[in-house]
Amino acid sequence: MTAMIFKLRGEPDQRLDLSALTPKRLAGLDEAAVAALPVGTGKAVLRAGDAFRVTMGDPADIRISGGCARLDGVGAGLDRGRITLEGEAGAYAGRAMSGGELRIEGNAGPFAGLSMSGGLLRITGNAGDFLGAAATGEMTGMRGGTIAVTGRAGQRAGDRMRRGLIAIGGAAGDFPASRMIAGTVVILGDCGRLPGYLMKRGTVLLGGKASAWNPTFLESGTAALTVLRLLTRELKPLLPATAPLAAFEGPVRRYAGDMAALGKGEIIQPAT
Amino acid sequence: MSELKPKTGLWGRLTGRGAAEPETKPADPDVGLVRGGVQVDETFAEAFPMSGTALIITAPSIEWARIAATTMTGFATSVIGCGCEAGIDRELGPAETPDGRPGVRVLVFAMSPADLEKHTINRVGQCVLTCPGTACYSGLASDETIKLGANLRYFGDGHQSSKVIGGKRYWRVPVMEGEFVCEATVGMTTEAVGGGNLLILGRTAAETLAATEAAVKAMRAVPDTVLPFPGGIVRSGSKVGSKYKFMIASTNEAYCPTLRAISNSKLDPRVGSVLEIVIDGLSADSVANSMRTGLAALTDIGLKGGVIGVSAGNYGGKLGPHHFHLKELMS
Repeated sequence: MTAMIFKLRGEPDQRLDLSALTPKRLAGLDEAAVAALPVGTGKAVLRAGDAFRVTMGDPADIRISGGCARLDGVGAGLDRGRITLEGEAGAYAGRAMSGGELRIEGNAGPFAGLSMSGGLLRITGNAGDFLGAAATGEMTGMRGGTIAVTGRAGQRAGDRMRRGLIAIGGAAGDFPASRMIAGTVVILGDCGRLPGYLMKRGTVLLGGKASAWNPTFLESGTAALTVLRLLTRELKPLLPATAPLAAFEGPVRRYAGDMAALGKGEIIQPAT
Repeated sequence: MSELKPKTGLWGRLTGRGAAEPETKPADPDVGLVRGGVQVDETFAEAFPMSGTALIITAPSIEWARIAATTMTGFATSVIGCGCEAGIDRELGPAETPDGRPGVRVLVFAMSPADLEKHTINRVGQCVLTCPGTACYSGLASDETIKLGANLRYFGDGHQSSKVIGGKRYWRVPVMEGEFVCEATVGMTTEAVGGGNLLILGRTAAETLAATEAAVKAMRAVPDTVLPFPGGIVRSGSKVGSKYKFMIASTNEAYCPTLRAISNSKLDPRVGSVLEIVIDGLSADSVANSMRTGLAALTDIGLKGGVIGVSAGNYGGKLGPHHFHLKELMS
């Protein structure tokens, strides 16, 4: 069965909430019911059929054609199947997703993968601030699953992250892995100020340099860590083939911290 | 050796009611259960259910992986005296291991999942965790698991940390050399089979050993099986019980060439030495494959290579539900 296709008719005049367009929500609906799903967030009622030209197909394989920074909540609550967005996404892509795969073939706005607990979120462009972070008022950020960003990520990636893997192929903004509880954040490029700020546990792999280093991280020697060989094998299919992962399979420098918090976390950089 | 006349021991010799003259005529080649002049007994190997697991041990070099695997599977010949049975299944190339380093796959067998967990943890803790550069992973995909790293982690004394990668949890235990990585749980099966066996009845000790070594070499290529005894060979096959009450097993005098005159020997007079190969496998099929391979290797060597006969040990069908009939394995 071919994919169910939502082709964007044009740039909407209000922000859209696409959290209704998930395999679970679309299962069993006929074309009229799909077209009637509300997607608007403004005063004027906007339905899926108004914003998209819908081609019925397999609801477990959804394809949204034509991206736009106003498309919020793409794949929010996704728990199965696959959603592909051919273009840019707005905020909250993959928010609280627990399974399945969300692929964004372009840039994603802020709060992508917010509080997600499972599944795979792939962003082939750049990601905004608070990637895989905690929503306001929530105690923990990402609690499972994998986020792979080919390009850059904004500030506070992995804020309050509890479990899971965030892989960023390029650079990251300030405070990556801030207040991290556990999990793994991989940044193959440089990052902004104070990586791992107040992190308790967890691992940050930093391929490049930080613009400012936190003094409460303590150098803990150089070693070749076997666990990184497992991690790089997991990362290979998620990142471009040119990603410099091999650097983590040799000697690495380990910094323990943040000693201002629990201090059981680590930042790891290639030794060479 | 069913069609060969058994001797009746010392009593028979003294009373003259035993076989007056030993049968010395060689078996006809390739007739009935004869292959290459080797008489294959119409009997069966009796094996029993076990719990089994497979581990992958990796290291910076294959030499260190071998050292860890050999040490870990040492003194694991029989559950009777060792608590578990273990051996090396095969060596793995870097492309076959989770961390891309050379490795060795070992199998461990015990009589229950609880025993299996206990002995596996002890052995990995003493022989792999201690070995430079090694890591240990599950080598068997299964819904049933036993704990491994989940218990060994406590060696880290609070400094251990876990990492979930690809849906599997690994424990990182800081050690003086660096870090020991071990998968939290490893797959196990209760469909494993222990005690498959072949008895090789040879003309001389040297010929019997050479033929058995050749069979072992062929059998070691069969996946999911191990031959837990030294070099894959047992020279001291046992029977259940003993004249001594404190012994639960003792020498199998019926197959001891030096006791042929004073015991109910089952040996052809031409037999000068007997060796046994014991096989444990993760499934009944794997044990059968191993026995089939060994049997073929032995009959290929044949009478000209000093193999007089091949038999198998059983307990009358009362010990275990798995009966590997040599006749079926020949066909």
